Amino acid sequence: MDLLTRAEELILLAVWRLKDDAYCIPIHEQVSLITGETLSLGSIYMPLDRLVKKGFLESYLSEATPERGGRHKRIYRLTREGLKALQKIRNVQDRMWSGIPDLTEEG
Amino acid sequence: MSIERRHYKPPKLAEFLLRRILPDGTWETPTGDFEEFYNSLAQERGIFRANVWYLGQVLKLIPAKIINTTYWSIQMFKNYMKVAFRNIIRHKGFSVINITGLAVGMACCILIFLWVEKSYDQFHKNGKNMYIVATHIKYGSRTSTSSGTPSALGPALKDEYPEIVNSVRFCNGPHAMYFAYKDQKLREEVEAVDPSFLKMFSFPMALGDPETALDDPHSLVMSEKMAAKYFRKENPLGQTIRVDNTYDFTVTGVFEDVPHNSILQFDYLINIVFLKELWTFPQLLNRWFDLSFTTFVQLEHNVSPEAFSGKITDRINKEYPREDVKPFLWPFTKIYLHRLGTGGGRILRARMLTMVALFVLVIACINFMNLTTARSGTRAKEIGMRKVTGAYKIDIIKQFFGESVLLALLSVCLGVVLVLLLLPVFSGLTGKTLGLNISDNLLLVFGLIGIAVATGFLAGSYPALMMSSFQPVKVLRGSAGAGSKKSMLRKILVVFQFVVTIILIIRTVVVYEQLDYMRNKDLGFNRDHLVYLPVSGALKEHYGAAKQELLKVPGVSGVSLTSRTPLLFGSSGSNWNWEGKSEDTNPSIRYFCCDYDFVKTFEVEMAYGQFYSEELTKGGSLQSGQLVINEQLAAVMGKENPVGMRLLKRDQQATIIGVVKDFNYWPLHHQSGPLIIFHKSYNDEPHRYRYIFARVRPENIPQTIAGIKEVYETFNPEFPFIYRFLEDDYVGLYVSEERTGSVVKYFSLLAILVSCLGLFGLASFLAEQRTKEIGIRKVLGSSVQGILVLLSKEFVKWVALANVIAWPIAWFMSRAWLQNFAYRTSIELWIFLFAGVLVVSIAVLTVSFQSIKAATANPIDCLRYE
Repeated sequence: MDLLTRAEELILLAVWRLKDDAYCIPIHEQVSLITGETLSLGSIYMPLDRLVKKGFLESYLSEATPERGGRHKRIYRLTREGLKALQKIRNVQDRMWSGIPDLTEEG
Repeated sequence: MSIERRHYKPPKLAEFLLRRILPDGTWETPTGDFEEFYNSLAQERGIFRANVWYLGQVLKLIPAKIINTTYWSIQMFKNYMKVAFRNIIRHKGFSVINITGLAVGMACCILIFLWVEKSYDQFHKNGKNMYIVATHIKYGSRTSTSSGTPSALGPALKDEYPEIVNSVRFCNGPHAMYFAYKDQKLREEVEAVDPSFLKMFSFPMALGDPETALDDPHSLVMSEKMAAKYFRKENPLGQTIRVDNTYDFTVTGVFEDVPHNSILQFDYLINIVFLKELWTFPQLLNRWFDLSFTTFVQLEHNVSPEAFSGKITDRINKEYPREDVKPFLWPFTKIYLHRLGTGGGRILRARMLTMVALFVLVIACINFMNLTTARSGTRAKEIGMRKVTGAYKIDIIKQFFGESVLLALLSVCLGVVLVLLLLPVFSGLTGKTLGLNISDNLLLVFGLIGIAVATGFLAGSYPALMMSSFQPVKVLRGSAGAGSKKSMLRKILVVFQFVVTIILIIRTVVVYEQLDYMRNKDLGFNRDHLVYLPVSGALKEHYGAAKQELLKVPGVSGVSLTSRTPLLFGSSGSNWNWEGKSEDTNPSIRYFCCDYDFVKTFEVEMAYGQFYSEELTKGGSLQSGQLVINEQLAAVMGKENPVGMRLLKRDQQATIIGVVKDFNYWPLHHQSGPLIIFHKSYNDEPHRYRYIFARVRPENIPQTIAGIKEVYETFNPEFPFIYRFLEDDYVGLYVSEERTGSVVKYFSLLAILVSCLGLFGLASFLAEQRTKEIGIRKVLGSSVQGILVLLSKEFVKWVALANVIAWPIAWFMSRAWLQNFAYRTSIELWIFLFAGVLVVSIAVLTVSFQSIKAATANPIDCLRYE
């Protein structure tokens, strides 16, 4: 059973949402927004690299902008495996949560 | 809404750091990301916050980077080590040769550095400012250097010149004194010094006050060893020792035993003032014209010794003007290694030995280089693979340097073990107790590591630089390897190695020849079976009677009284005049005093005239103004037979009645120069005589000695009986040369060994390389002999060439060494031939050991694989 970890799931989803603008800065922004926590930039690179290695993401260099000091962006894109993995985790999650009412403390 | 958005740039330094930290080739996107983030942070929260964030990010990355780098370098290092050890193990023979060769070289270096210690006299607190007052003395056109100074000089300098902190006179004047304490009666060597000796020099006192210990003329300060000998467990302070059966000395201090690395060696010190009493000579210490006291001075910090030397000259000339004496100051700490006033001395031997040790090390290094380059073929594929998988040239260089440094360090460890094993042997060889004390000797430790790293680099440089530039394509295709171009260099190295070896062998033989020559040289008298007794006490008053009694002892064939022993003719003088003397001759002439029987007892031959005799005295013809001289003096005077000529000095004049044939009264380093033999009656002037010599028959020597002892004790019961054989004095005479000889001998053996190890390795490698060729040759009908010649020819040629190069060098070096001796052996041709034949035959043996193996192998075995 090779399910995605939560962090990987978060990042893959961010990449999915950002479509063609999925490079480090917006991904970081997204993840911070969703989790409500301030993460360091560095903590984004590691899972990104790992996901590339696993074949869930692929990357290419895109245009350079002046606010980057004229350096290229590395844009990430979901691969078919990445998409499948997301779908799979979604299914698992749905099944896992189905039939469970609001979580409140029972007396 | 178009606000002019300013673009903020992160700090240059931080960005630079970030780039360095990120893995090679991946820095572009992340720095871009960081800059973008920084930019937006700067817009929103201000530039300061942005800077803090950026720096924080960079700093956070540093530990990770360090860990990462270290991890990978450890990984690579592990791999290098693994490969290095695999190589060591796979090529056991080569590794053993390499490591032992280097280890032997290292061990040589360590041993020599232990021996040639420069630590002599370095323990004195005032050492930097202490000097010995030495003098150049002119004899005609010759100059000699001595440490003798006038007795009044020391105190005068101290009292009159503010530049002088302290001055000390040192005189081993009394030579030996007879100590009696309870039932112990012993002859002891005593040194007389000024009381400030203990303040100026740093010989720590175990008991007593160094400030005052020597103040009293009858005070005695002794070493701990001697205090233990006399007083055992008693407190030595305040004890009384009776000296020469006349004086009572009180022990006022005990100093720690003088360390072996001190040039001043003594067990007892007394106040120099006592000498006036001993020799009943009140003016002894106030004289300006004799040069018989050693003076040490301590200068103020900023005084130049050169400038002060002039003041000493002036001071002496004020009292007693003399042209021929020129004093100068010589640093105390330099005395041991550097002969006074000249460049010579022990430093020459030290340099020679250091050179020998370095030679052996260099040979070992050459071996290493030779073997490693020869083996480069076997490593070429590995290098090709490394390069293909991404290694840079620098990585290969690092790997090979690392490998050879590793081997060198292994060799150091083995070398240290060897040193520890060899130290007892080596100590015996050098006559010095040596210890390898690493905790005490940080310099040595660093030195060792330095030597190891340097050797590793030196040895590894050639393979590292050469192999790193292999082209992977060629290597992997199988066409590179140990090419013939490189074998030229290898041959040159082999030749060099053997040049050094041959030089060492020749030097060894020459040293031994010279020693042999000195041992067997005809001294001009017969030194065998001569027993001598140093004389003191009451015996002096009964010389005549004692001599008669000694002659009655069976086994004694002759007895003679003398002023000195023939190894130490001490006093000398110059300014003698004679008829026809030329202006620039003014020889320094030694003096010697003896009784009638000297010539007969010592078996010295007369050249002309006659020796002193009783008949001459009885006939009334022997007056005080008559002299016997030696041939050297006759030669200086320019007369073959000067009998009847007159010698004049100030108010004295004398007629020469005889000339003795030259005999050697010095060690053979020095020419035994002009000599005047005096005769004084021992009844009238007994103080001139210090020794009784007796010639004994070679049979029943113990009985003869017992007889002599009996006579001695009847005349001199208060003093211990001490005797020596003159020939024993010669045994220790050339000890320094003998030690040098044996050390050089062993080191030459090591050099041969190491060279042959190298040759062996090289030969076996080449034989291995040519296995196929040999196989084919044999298949085509070549004989074993033919192949042997084929394989050995090369090496023999190069070793022969080495001989040709080495001979002239060795000849010059040997000649330079022999200049140290006044009487020297000739350097004969057979020495060179011997060394040459020896080395060539060893080389042939070494090579053919391998060659035979290769030549007799079955060709099927080597041709089977293809």
